[in-house]
Amino acid sequence: MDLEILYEKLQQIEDKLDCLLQERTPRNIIDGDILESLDVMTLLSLPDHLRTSASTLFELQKASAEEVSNVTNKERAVESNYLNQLVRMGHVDKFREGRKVYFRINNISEISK
Amino acid sequence: MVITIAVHSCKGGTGKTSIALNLAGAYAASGKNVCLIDLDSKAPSLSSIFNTRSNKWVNDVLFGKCNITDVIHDVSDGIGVSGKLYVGLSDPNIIAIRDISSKDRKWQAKALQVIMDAKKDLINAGMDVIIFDTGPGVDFSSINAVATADYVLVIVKPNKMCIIGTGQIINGVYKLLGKNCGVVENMCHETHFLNPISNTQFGVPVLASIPCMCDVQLKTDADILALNEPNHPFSESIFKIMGQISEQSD
Ligand SMILES: Nc1ncnc2c1ncn2[C@@H]1O[C@H](COP(=O)(O)OP(=O)(O)O)[C@@H](O)[C@H]1O
Ligand SMILES: [Mg+2]
Repeated sequence: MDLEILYEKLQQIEDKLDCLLQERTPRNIIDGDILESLDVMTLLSLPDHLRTSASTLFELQKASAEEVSNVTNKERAVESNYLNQLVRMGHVDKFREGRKVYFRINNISEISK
Repeated sequence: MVITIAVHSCKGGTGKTSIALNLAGAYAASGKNVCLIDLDSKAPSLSSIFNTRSNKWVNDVLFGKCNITDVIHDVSDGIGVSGKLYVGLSDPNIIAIRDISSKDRKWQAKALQVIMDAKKDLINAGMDVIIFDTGPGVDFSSINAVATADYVLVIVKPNKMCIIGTGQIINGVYKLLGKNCGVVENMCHETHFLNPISNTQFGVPVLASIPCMCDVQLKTDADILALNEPNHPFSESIFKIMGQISEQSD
C-alpha cells in the first residue's frame, strides 16, 4: 500500500479516536470550571504556534486541519496536533460532518443553549 | 481588495477619531464604499459628528440583537464624495456606556466573534474600506477591533511615554496578532521635526508627521476637514496616509 494512503488511514483513526474520547468526557468542563470561548487577551498569551493556529481558525471560522495547515504552511499532522491541543484547552471545538472532522473556535453561546 | 483598518493608540487623545473620520472621508472622496465604525464604546465620539437621530447602535450588534447592516447610516449625501460613506455609531448614552463597560471576559470573547462576523457582513454588503475607531490602550474593546482588522494605524503623540508605550504595543500586541501596521505622529511641535521618529525606531513605517495646529480642533469637531479643505496641511497628511496604506498593502 502506498505510504500516503496508509498515512491518511492512520489520520482517520486518530480523528475517530479523538471524537470518541471527546464524547466520553463532558465537553469544556475541566475541574468543574467551564472553559470559555477564546478571548483576545488569552489569544495573545498563547505560545506562537498555538496563536497562529487559533488566529487562522478565527479567520476561517470552520476548517479541517488540512485547511488550517494550508494557511499556516505547516504539515497537516503538525497542525492537527496543535488544533487538538486547543481542543483540550477548551478554546476550540471539534466536530464531525459526514466523514470529515472540522474545528472551530469554541462558541460559548452554543454551549449555554 | 477590501481593507479593514483599526485606528488605535496606546494613549488617549492622540487624534484617533479625527484621523479615522478624515481617512474615511478621504477614501469616500476617492470613490470607495467606506464604512466607519465607532468601536470606542466606552467613550464614543462619532455620534456628535453625525446627527443621524439614530436609535440603532453598534452596541445592539455587540449584544447580538441585530446585524451590523441594520445599524449603519449612509451619510454620503451633501458631503461631496464620489463613493459612499456609511457610519456605525456607538451609543453615547451614559447608561449604555456603563452597561458595556461592565462586561466580562466571557462576553468580550463573544464580542470578538461578533465583530469578526460584522466585518464579513460589511464586505458582503459591498464595502471596500472598513475603518474602526477604537479606544486607547490595551483593553478588550480596542484589542477586539485590532484583532479583527487587517491593518493597524497607530497614532503617536511624540512624547516619551507615548513613544515607549507604542513600541510595547506594536511588539506585544499587533505583531503577535500578525497585523500589518503603520505609524502616524500627530500633534508634533516645530522642534520635533528636527528629530522625527524614524522608520527603524519601531520597525514599522512612519506614514506621516502631522503638526499640532490649533484650527484642527475646531475644524474636525463637526465636519470632515479632508473634504472641506483638501489643501489644509492636516488633510494633505490624511491623503498621504491613504496612499501609503495602499502601497503597503499591495
Ligand atoms: N494635528 C492636530 N493638531 C491640533 N489638534 C488636533 C490634531 N489632531 C487632533 N486634534 C484635536 O485633538 C483632540 C483629540 O483628538 P481625538 O481625535 O478626539 O483623539 P482620540 O480619538 O485619540 O481621543 C480633538 O480636539 C482634535 O480636534
Ligand atoms: Mg476617540
